Amino acid sequence: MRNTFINTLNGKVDENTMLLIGDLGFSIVEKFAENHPGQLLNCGVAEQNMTGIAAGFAMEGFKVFTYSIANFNTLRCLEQIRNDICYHNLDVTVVSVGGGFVYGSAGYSHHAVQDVAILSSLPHMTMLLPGDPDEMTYCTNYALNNKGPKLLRVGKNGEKNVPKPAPISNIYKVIDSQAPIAILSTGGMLNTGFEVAGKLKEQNVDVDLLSSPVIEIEQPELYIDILKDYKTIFIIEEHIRLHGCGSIFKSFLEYYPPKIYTFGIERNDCHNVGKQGYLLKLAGLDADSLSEKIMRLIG
Amino acid sequence: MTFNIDKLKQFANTVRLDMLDMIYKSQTSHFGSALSTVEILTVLYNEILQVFPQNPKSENRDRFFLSKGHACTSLYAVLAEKGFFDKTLLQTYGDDGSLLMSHISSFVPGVEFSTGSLGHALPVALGTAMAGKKKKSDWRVFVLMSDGELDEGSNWEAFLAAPNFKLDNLFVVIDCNKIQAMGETKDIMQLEPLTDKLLAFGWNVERVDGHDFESIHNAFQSLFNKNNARPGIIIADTVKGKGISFMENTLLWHYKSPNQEQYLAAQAELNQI
Repeated sequence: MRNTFINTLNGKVDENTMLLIGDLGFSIVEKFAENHPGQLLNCGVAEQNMTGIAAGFAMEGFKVFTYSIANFNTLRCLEQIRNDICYHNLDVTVVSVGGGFVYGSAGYSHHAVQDVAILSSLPHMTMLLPGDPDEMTYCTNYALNNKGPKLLRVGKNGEKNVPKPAPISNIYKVIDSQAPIAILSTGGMLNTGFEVAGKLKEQNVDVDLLSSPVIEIEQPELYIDILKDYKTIFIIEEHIRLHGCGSIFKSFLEYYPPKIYTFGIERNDCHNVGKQGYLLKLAGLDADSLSEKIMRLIG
Repeated sequence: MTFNIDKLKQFANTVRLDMLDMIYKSQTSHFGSALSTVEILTVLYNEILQVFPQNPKSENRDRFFLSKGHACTSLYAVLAEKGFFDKTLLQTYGDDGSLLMSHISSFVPGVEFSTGSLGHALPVALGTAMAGKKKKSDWRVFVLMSDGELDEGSNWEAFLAAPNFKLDNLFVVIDCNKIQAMGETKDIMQLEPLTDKLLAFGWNVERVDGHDFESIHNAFQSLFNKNNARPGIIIADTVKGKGISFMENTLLWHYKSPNQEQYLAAQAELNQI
């Protein structure tokens, strides 16, 4: 995913694009620096300053990406994102690598599980939450082609592409079984969602699998058209359940029929440490747990 | 000396009278913090900055950031006096729905950037200065900040970074009025020896009387003439509440706005100048 991001940037940017890093991105950003001399700026381990610098560049018409991991360029510098970037509606994409439990063994400091809840509440902010390399390409192109503040939440390297047709209104219909039930995957849950759909199919339950890598908070109608006719939607996310993507889609569909169930991480479960798969299983976000819960709910 | 001191004094006094009207009418705070900036802004807007009141967003303008956004009344009054907008707008200061909110707003013609929370403008100014260099522009970037806000870590991240990035198009003034929200700066978070700290960080540093027009002007000229690829900073020793005797050097006027008696006394004092 990180390589897909850099490779997509490498081919597309002009001299008015800056990639700022908070002294992270070893073996990832060097290719960009080679191809775009002077457009990679290491701001040191100083995310507040980096975010302010990004705002300063963007005020002068530059397209800017700030790159770091976990919560360092999202929460550490939250007020700079809020006041300097979002209030002034500047063209800065905050690229946070390791969304969710990617750095699970590193401990709670590295669990990026509140970023969507917090940043999606900021003015003008768009969520870019790719679930596989295809979606990363889509999200990176979105960031290149659209101005304004954005969060690009990046998983680890090595995610498999899930086969799917082209997206409609930012939503990929990964599995189209004409079913009244859908699983809506956000961010890095796409592969898991695909597995869950397979497990349900084995039990003769057909579901659609949807993925929404771009959430334009101010454009709910984009999503309503596609989602409103489902009877039941199960939203899965590697993020605190409260105020996450599930909450965003629930608010979009507030006046429409679908019954919505949200699956995510509970906020007080913060002392567990281990690899991503282990933590997802503890949170009940593995394919077995999710398919069991969904089977129970649909009776 | 290339400028007319009497004219600058008159300008500063007009600005103080406008500020007094704004704060008396709106009954808002931070009068003392704004009064200490008046001579600095007067020199900047009359002698230093290349700005274009009829075309505030001209690409060739120098970029000026007010980091101590709570001192906005002085900048609003200066911008009005320079013709960026009609002076009648000042009368709406603090009104519901007014363009002039009580922390500096970039929706006001001539204001580059909105601030209010401290420690924000300097990092942004670094980015702007770097953008200027990338564009090979001649315009420069200026920041006015307070001494109290130097408690914010973000400023020290920026102090460390600016010399590293060789930002010799960046010029900062610290309005060192020595009183912050809860008392004297030396008692709350000692900053001294500030000159030594900033020199050690790699800045060109000047320290001046922040109410002396000629000293401020000369300090800028000295920084402009360095040509050593370093950013420049002026530590301006100022008096909180400067210009209205009973407000000078008092913490109370960080918060208080004048009642009618105080308003008339302040007005009479300023009118004598």
